[in-house]
Amino acid sequence: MKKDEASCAGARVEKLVELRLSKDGSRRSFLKSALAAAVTGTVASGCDHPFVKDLLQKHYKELSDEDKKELFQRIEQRTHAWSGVRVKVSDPQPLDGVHWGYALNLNHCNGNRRCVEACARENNLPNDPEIRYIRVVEADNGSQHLEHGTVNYDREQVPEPGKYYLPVQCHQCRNPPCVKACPTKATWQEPDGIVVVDYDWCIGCRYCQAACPYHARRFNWTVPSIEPDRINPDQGYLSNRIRPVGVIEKCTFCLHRVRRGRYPACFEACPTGARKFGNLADPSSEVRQIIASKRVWILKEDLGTDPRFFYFYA
Amino acid sequence: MIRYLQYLKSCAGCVLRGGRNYYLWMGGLFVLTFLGGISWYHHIADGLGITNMSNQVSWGIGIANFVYFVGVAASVALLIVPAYIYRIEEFKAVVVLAEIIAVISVVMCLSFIISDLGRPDRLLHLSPGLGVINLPSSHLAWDVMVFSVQLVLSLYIPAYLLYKRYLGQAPNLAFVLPPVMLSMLWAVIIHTVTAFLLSALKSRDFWNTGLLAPRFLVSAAVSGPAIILLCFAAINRYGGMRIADRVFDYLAHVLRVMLPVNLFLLGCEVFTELHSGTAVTESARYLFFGLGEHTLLPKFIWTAIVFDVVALVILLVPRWRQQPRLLYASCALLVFSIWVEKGMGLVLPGFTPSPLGEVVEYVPNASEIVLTIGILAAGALLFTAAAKVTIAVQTGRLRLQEGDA
Amino acid sequence: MSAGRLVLVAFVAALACEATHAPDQAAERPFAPTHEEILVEPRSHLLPTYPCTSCHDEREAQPTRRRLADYHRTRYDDLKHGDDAFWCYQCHALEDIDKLRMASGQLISFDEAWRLCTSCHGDKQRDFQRGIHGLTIGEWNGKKHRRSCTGCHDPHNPRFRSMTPEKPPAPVQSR
Repeated sequence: MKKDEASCAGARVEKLVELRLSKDGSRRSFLKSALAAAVTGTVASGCDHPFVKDLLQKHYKELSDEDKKELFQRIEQRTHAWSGVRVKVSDPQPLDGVHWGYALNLNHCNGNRRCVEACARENNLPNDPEIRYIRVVEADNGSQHLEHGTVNYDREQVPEPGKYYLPVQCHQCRNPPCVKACPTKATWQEPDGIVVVDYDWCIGCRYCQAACPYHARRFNWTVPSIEPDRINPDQGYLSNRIRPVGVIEKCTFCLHRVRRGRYPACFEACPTGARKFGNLADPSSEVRQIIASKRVWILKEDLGTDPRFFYFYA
Repeated sequence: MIRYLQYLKSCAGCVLRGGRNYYLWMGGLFVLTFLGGISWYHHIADGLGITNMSNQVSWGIGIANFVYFVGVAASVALLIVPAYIYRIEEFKAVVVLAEIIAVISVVMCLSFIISDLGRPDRLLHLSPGLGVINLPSSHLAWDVMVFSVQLVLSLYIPAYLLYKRYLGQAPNLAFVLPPVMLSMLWAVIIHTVTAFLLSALKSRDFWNTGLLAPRFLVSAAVSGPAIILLCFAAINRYGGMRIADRVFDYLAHVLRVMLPVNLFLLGCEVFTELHSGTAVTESARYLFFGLGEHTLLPKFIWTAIVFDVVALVILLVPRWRQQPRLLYASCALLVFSIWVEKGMGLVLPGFTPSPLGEVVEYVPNASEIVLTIGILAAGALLFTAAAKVTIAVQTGRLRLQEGDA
Repeated sequence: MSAGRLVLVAFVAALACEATHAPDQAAERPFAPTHEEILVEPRSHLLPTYPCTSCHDEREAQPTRRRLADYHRTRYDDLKHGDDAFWCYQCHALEDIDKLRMASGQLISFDEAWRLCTSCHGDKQRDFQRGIHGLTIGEWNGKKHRRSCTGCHDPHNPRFRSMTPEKPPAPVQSR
């Protein structure tokens, strides 16, 4: 068992080295082919190059089914080339009559952060530099002053007496300030309420990050480094596919899961049953039941963002 | 057409010829620009992870400089007013130089912004037609629009005036006055839109104030004249052109009026923020007193306020402000103090604490400082070259010769 | 877990009936809102000492409250449920130790423990039935499995246990 792990780690290192090399290689070969294109004057050969294809890629909403098919294949091949992992990129569409809602029971949440890690696994989030969509604030009972709380609590055991825990992730606002802010419409709200980012259209200005009152958006400061054995092969184009450098990403309520009937990863990981998820358009859904019968509040209601993420006590 | 090429050729000749000190100055600036270029290359090749920015403080020195130089670009309108509204001849002579300061500020702003993008290769996504531009809702999209217009305006005005002068012809006022008047309006617009870019963010209480746009304009009316005054003093000294004392008096006068207003507005802001003591004023407390062990910014802001007051005293005492050295010193103090107050002192508290209450103290690292110095050096390089041509044309040393074309 | 081991519990919660959806619509849209089936996960097969009769058959049941020194000692030490009047046979059936006993006298299986729990904790019952209290897995609009009360709470000491949290976020590093 130990031996296997060791050889596994060895293979991982090898693959990472290969990744570096192949990147350099592709850069060099790009220069070569660009040069060739310039010399022979054939624009066509240049257009075939992945770099040029990236440059000329259209906005998600302008992609035809054909474009998507080719694009997804390209992403799958690229991932395979550096990681050796066969992934499947898909693009599940929003469901009619469904508006996602999340509710979180603050009486039950004990700050164990299982959701944070499950989310990282599901969404191919890198560890270095670390990206995590969910932040859990530990605050004093009787205080909603977030500045007095901390997300960095490091305890042997939770919950700590006298504290409560407030997990925060994207609230999928009905009136999202981030969508308003984006200068290139690289982020938008889907009909089912999920705010998504076209990672291939974002210019990385980070204005949306400044605009978000929930600190829900993350920037890829470097090429995201993810160990091949951590790659989740079930990848949504607008959700958890491995992101390029220099773009914004965010929680999508795991749209590649929920649009296929599953629950978000954070939901499934929660051992306390504090997380509730469902269709806001369905009066029998758990989220609607909670809104109808519990003391429900939303974070920073005064900002008028109208989130789809509710906190409650039960 | 051939005549214009001839003109460009003689301009290039003018830039390339100079004395030993000129070559040293330009060479030094070129080296700094080159170093900045290397840093920029690393920003692109390695990602912005080489900077000290983080998800908590996601904008840093680049945006701070951008905001600052927007002000400089806008403040040039202050010189257009006496030249074209009051029609004072001495000012008409310096409008071209002022517009050159404006265009270089705009170019520097764009450099600061583009070098701060995660994906500068996707810049075309912002252009109408090729890209998708999020109008009317995105203030950043509006900023891109008004900046493009500003760039065209402040390129066109000096280019046209200079070329006419080169030809020895009087400029056709029909081609000058409308863009000049528009550029006055545009100065207010670019600065207001940039202020709205920040003040419209309800997520950041520190910026979310109606006072931000007036403060932007007023602080621009301090930093701008200070920089212009220093540039003009340098031209008087090294440039071989005499700029009238009246221009200096006017700029000093603007400073004397606007600096107290600026301090007043700052005081209003400080009073409201700190007196109310609500949870949303943590950012202001961070700026003026620090939060916990994070106390770097207060040192800068208090230095800036002291500089403001010292400069104000110099400007108010007639005996002192009439001494050029003291006047220049007060301008230098103001260039720095407004940079702190309106650059780093404005951008960083907006991110600190983060919306979830995290306090991360940002300090630009070597790569960011080298890039900043590189862009500043490029600006100085461009200004020196452009001012040299302008002076040569204005003083008649560079003229269309009888034999040419 | 085989379906045969699941106890199907059809909740007839009044609120659930409010949802009316045309069946044809549901057929068109595979994930469109439909009436849900909720399955409470069985537990008896998970109990290490089950069936209880394997030991209790040979012993006389003693309904009197006393200090337990030989068997179930840890249970005794840990017992923190209700007041001092609580004793084994408040919940376990004296007449059939493999069953639980409702207040009405009805004997129920361990797999239905939630019925016994909620006979006192009525507020929790309401929330459990609506899916507000408790842990649910499965599909948000399809088959759902709901953890039984005793799947999370130790009935002898029902307070939710404290846990070791995952690591805190990596600190922001200056370069």
